[in-house]
Amino acid sequence: MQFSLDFPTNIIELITTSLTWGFLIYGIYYYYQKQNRKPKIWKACVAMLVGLFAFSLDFAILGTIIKIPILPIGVWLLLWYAKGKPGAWDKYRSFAWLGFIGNFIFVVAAIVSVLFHNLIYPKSDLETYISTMEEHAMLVAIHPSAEEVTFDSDSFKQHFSSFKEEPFDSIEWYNDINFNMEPADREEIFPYVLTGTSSKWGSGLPTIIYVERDGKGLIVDSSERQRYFRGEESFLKGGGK
Amino acid sequence: MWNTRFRLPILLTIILIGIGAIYYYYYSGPDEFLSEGALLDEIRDYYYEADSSTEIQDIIFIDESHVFVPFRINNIYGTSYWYWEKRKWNLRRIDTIQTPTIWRVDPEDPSTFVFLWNMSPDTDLHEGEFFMINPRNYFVSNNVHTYTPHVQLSMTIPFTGTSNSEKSFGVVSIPEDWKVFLQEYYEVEHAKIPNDSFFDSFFPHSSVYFGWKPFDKEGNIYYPQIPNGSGYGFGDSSVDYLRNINEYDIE
Repeated sequence: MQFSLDFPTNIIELITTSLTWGFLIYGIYYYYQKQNRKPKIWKACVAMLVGLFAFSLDFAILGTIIKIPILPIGVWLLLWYAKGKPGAWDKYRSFAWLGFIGNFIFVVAAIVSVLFHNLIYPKSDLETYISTMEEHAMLVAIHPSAEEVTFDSDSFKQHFSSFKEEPFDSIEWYNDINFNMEPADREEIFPYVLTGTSSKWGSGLPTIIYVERDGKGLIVDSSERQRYFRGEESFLKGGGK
Repeated sequence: MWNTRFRLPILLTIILIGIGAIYYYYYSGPDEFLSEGALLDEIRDYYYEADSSTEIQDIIFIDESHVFVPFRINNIYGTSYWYWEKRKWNLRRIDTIQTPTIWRVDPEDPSTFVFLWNMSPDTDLHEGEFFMINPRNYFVSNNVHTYTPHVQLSMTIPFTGTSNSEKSFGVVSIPEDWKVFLQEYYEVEHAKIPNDSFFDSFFPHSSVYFGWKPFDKEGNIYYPQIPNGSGYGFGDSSVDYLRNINEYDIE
């Protein structure tokens, strides 16, 4: 499972999630202090956790899935459970509702973390995806039409800032190759993958970078939507072009 | 009578033993591999024609807990795939179908992927070209474009068994550059799945597939014809037959 261990962590999400839990723990403390009839602290925690349980609807906003809580299932469960125990509901009600409210805080946290993520890791900036390069960064040919070229890291670094995001038409690319050429004659537009680079620290963006035949273009595929970058100079050495 | 003083320690001990037992059951390393006799018994469960002349050709450990066992029943060549789980050796697949396979020993870790085969030497089969292909694709949704380049990598494997004195079976790890590509590709595909729930440990649906093109000595496409080949698979689909690659699949 080393595969998941070295998986890059989204630091923004980590922080907002931690803050949300911190807030809920503080909430328990707050209501505990406020109440005259003290509940058992561990029971208050359980009431809060059960209160979190809700029926929610999924909405896609800003490229993530947001769960809007609708029905406080957990609160109802506790209410039903407390029915037979006089006084119990008064003691634990606020904690159960705190749990349900917690769902909304998680929604806010998710939206905030996406906004901050976009601010700190601009998605139309190549540096977000290629921020550090290992010594052995290299090209891997992925198609028979690839040529004998190597990666010129000096040239790449030198012209790095010239890479700008551009719109692209995937249908045109696909049709130009698949409808106009017999399989044996097909040349892939992106016959290499650039490996040995990593995205900006804390962004949590795993990437695969496809390199264009002329060495001036990159498709960056990540958990975000795909981006196409074009630069001014080729960073390929050797080959026919 | 139970003294309350002892109740907690006893409870803790029971919990610890329970955790230990569960850990031992699921995670402890394998025992010694099955004996040839036990293997032959298992093979006979699936192939009634397996008589006393049946031969276990080799026992190849892919790693500590995954074992490939090629066998021969007279002139029928077969493969069997074993793995260690829950304190015993289990059969993943057994077959006499003359098609090489890919075994994703750990489906999430491409460095564990291997090609395996056991091909009858009594055919014209000379060599095979093995492929990894991710077909070119595009996807447009709300004006957001996604383009998947065509990935096609291949390697040639000589079936040395055709010269009779040599082995009819083999195990070959996929090449380094395939692993590099797959590692990055899987990481990205995995991250695209909404980060929901416990269920995302499920392997993502991937469009990457593995195939082969077999050749005879003259370089013509040649599929070995073996009558009555059969196979039995159990559990997950970590062992896949290589697809037959046609001319229109490759570029």
